[in-house]
Amino acid sequence: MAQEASSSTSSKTISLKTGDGEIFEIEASAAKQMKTVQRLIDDLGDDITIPLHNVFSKELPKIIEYYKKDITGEITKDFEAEFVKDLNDDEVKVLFLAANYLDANKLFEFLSQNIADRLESKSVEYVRKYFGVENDFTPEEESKLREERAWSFRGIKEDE
Amino acid sequence: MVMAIASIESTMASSSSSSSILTMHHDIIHTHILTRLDATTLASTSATCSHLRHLCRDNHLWKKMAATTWPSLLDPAICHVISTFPNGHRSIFSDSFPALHYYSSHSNHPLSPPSSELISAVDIHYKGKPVFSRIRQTKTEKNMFLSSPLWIEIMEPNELVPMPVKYVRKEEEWIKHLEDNLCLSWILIDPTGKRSMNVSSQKSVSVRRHWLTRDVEILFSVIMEGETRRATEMVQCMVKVTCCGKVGGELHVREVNLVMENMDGGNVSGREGVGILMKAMEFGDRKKVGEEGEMKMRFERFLNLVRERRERKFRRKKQWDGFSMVVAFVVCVWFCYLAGF
Repeated sequence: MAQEASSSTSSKTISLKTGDGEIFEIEASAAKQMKTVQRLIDDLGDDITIPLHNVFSKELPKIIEYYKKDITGEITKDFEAEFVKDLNDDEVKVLFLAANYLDANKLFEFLSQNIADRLESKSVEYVRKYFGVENDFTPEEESKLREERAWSFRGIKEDE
Repeated sequence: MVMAIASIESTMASSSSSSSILTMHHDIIHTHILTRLDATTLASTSATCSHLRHLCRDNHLWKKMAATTWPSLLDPAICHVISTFPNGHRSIFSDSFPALHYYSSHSNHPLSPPSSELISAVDIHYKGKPVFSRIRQTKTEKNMFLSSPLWIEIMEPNELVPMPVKYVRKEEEWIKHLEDNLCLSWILIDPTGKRSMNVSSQKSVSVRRHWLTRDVEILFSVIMEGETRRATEMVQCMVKVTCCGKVGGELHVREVNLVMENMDGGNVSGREGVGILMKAMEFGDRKKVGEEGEMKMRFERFLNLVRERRERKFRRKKQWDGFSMVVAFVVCVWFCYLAGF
């Protein structure tokens, strides 16, 4: 628990404990951007390590990195592109759900757009895998659906 | 944003539970992902499973998409008309998003009674951004409309609408620039039959300067099957955009109108034109344009057909004139002979 006794908010740090027991530090001003964290701080006080049962050590550092940049006002398109460049689809999904849990609006909106961009013009099978869903249509329903959306067969990246 | 900490905490097993993302989070997927997808991707997503299909059928998603793709459809009167369609705004996409292909003979198919009104929703995009949107309701039962050449004018007389396109002097580059960056969609909506279609080639098929007025004429065209009579076996549905401007200033749109031409190069009447349009709307195929420049190729082929017909007609006329002269000469000689000369 590393916390400075100074009354200035800008130098105050909050301790966050992930679901798998690791502890990370974040500036109080950055923690303010995550409404869930802020609510927990209001309820439990800022001297305590805030428990985040549904966020894990894999994703929290990335979220902290994003908000560290945000409080200095340095978030640019280039930074955002770099931020997601090396993330695979599953990692983006996990961050997306974590940002939703933390009520971290800015990151959540950015990741929503990124997911939409990743799905753009992809085939039905790709989207199925992405959402982890099974095809529950009968062959007749599938062929009817295919007919219904024949108008959209333009620029599909993979073969249907 | 949906916040259900308790429920998420209790059901979320691990950080990589992608298999349950839809079940647990369909509301955030619907509100935050589906709303950001483009029309093609939304259509693909709706074919993945029944749950996503149900989410993707939300008319609000398609209404928002239609308004982004064609701002003219934001008009309240049009929104109301489209809301009466069986699949609402989704049917606008399936009917008007792809290009219209209407070539095989359907003239023997019985047609539903023609609509008394057609609504035109026109949008011009420059470099992907909308720069002009207008709607026009056309009554198709008036005698004047039926007996005159088919003509739908979108703008008011003497109206000029500026577009953020610079008017420059250098011909070829600028004309190529307009060809590459201007897109027009003309959606014809039949409120009675609850169908629609796009009668534009999206990209222009020709950009030229009028030899006298120096106005710029930008043409968009779709070739379709007409009636079985010779001159209207195939017809060209053409949108002509006339622009003017001062060098260095902005281009101003002066006229945007829809006409229909037959293979003799003449105009198709309102009565015949509406009949052809209604048939195209009911029986035409909607599918993607095959290759880049396909619509331009069809336009040029049609122009060649018109030219060939004109030349054939001219040759036939010359032959006939020659023949008539010979006959007249022979008849004259015969009369002279009979008269005893």
